[in-house]
Amino acid sequence: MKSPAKRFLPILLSLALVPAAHGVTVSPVLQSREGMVTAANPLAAEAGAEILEQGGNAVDAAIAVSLALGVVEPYASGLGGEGYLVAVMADGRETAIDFRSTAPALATYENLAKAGKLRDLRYTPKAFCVAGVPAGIGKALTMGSLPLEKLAAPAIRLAEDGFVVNETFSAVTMDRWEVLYENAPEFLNDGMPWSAGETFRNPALAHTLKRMAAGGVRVFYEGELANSLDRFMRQNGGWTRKSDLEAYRALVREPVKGHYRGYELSVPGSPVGGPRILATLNILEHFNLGLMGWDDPLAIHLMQEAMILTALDQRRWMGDPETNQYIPETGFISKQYARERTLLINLARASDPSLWHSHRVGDPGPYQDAETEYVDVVLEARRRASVEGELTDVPPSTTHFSVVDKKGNAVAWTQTVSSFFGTGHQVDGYFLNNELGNFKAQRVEGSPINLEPGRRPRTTIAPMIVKKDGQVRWVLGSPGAGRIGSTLVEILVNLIDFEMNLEAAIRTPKFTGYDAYREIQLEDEFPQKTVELLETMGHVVTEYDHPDLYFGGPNAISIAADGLLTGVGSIRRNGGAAAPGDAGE
Amino acid sequence: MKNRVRRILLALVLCVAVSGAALADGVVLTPFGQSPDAMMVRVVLKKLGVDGRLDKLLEADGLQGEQVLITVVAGSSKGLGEAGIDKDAEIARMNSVVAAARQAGMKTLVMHIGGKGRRGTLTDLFIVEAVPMADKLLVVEGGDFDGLFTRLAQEADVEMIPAPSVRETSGPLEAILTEWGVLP
Repeated sequence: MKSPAKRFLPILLSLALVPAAHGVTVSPVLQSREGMVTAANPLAAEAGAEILEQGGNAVDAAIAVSLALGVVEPYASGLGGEGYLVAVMADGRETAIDFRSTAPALATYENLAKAGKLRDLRYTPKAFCVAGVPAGIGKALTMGSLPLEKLAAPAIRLAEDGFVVNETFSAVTMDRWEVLYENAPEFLNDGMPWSAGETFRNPALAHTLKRMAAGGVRVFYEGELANSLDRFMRQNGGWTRKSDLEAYRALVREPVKGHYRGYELSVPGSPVGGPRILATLNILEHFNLGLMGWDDPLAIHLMQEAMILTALDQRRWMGDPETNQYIPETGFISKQYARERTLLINLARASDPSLWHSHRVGDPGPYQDAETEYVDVVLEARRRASVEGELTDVPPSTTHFSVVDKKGNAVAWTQTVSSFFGTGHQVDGYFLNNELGNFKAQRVEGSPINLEPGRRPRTTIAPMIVKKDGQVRWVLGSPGAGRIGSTLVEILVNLIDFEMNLEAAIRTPKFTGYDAYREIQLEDEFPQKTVELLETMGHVVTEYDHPDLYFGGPNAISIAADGLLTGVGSIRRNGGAAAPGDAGE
Repeated sequence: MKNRVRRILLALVLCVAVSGAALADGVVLTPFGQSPDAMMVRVVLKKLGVDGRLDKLLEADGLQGEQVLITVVAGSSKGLGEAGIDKDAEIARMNSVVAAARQAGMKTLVMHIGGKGRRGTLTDLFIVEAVPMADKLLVVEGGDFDGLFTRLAQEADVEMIPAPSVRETSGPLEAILTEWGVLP
């Protein structure tokens, strides 16, 4: 099998170093010892590096990036969206902030029955869940050192002065043009999509950011901005009210911990994708992947089968722990449970997709007790639960960014508006998410994602920080909906088992492993022999161009033992890395 | 007072009638690859005063005596799926529509408006088929980043007209439709 080093050499490192206007350096791939920011748009990465240059810490920079992404990538995240962050501070403190959106009080199955099918409401204000990004920023500010006014300044400047639209902005606007033409024609360029090279300005968002910077994030939930959103919802048939906004709180949690081959991972817990990543790695730990390679069909087969098993469990068992009495997260991520699940993988044959939901959903419940051994459980041959209700794919939007400062504080932050441009409706310059689509369309007895006011929907995001021997080694995460889990697992396996550097690990072709896709979808740089053997094993293979945005856009940072930071901007999304000062050694 | 209101209403009705009549017809639009891009071209045409008829699954017998066929090329797996056809059926459809258009003496304009973001294996497959069908080719410049359109246009001896952006296709589009007699 081919060496990834030969095919995907880190060729960009010495190219395209751009000293930007605010005392920082920007490039698709960059090295520095002074701090590093990677984001899906180089302008947002630059905003974060500018804050590091001004003496802010990683959390300050992350807040600036979050706000800047809402300007330069309004289709993927923004004030009307939600997310989750994991932070590991240089003093050892670890924090996760859950700023996932919540269903408003009027979002009940009774009202849904009157309004129509959940799917048909995707691009209406009814699909909006109470946004969490401003509250998440509010919680994050307590770990930062600079005032919001200063952190919002780059975003306000970008919104006011404008910026040159890149290919991704143009392509996404074109893809979503029909919804925008209907719901937010004012966003378009004289009714047409924005083309790469044109200058986009958003004075309404600049005004909104200024109000928040001056009055604090609660202005969004209790002040003029809340009134404005309430008014929009009442006038346009939405369900969110000012009372929902007033009730919203971001939650500070402990990151969930897991281990893989001596590395320690800190991830967000249920209802997002962190536990599934850990559960997948727990299964993969039983195979010596290091003897294989990124394009070995056996490795691809094992990883895909493991990811299907964990996707089935995630769909059955994971949900909002605040509004569900029983979420067996501890069992799901236990090593003993992984052994039980590993028994289901046939080394020579792909599992039958038609049996996935009836025969391959597990029950991590017994493993909630740390004493439980898989041998006892298997001998009892428990009857399996089954997944009910429809399968929904989640949209490919979302954005992830990573920040490390020179003191070693690290932040992994993923935020989203669900579909690209969310509902397609704009209020005060920001787009409204359509997270409501992540709940069950109909009540299903025992489902952790039944629609319930105040409940956070389940999604696949998984910002994470990986440590080795107590030192932060990688900060990463990705957008990509149902591909987030597979892309992140593959990057981790590339880094740990195949010993690739970060750029090669990200650049190497990706494949899916998710129960919403009955086939393996993969980027077309895999050797033909690999594809042929996978098909012989019973996999149906669908090929995509390589690289394709469909497989996510990780923005990640690695930290070498000597402290050298390497930032890799999303190769599949025109992303960038930025560092304070004149970086690029 | 009543008479004044009546006069205003009458004037409004006349305005609407006149502006409706002012829209030229004579153009039929269909996507080649089932992306939504043809709808954008329809909006551009409307701004030029041309009421282009959009038929996503236009067939040879669906031509209604128009002067110009515009096909907007860009592959969309989602669009093909929703239309219930595969790429081979889409190519066959376009071959038969263009053949019928030629027989009817119509001009065919092939457009690609999506720039670099609307290029890829599927779209390129349709582009290779579409360019030789064209009497003229109108391409938003980013879409020709690798010279594919330039090469195919040269090989097929088709005039290629570049436009900087979707919005700025209106100028060349107006010139083409004037030359072909749709616009005065």
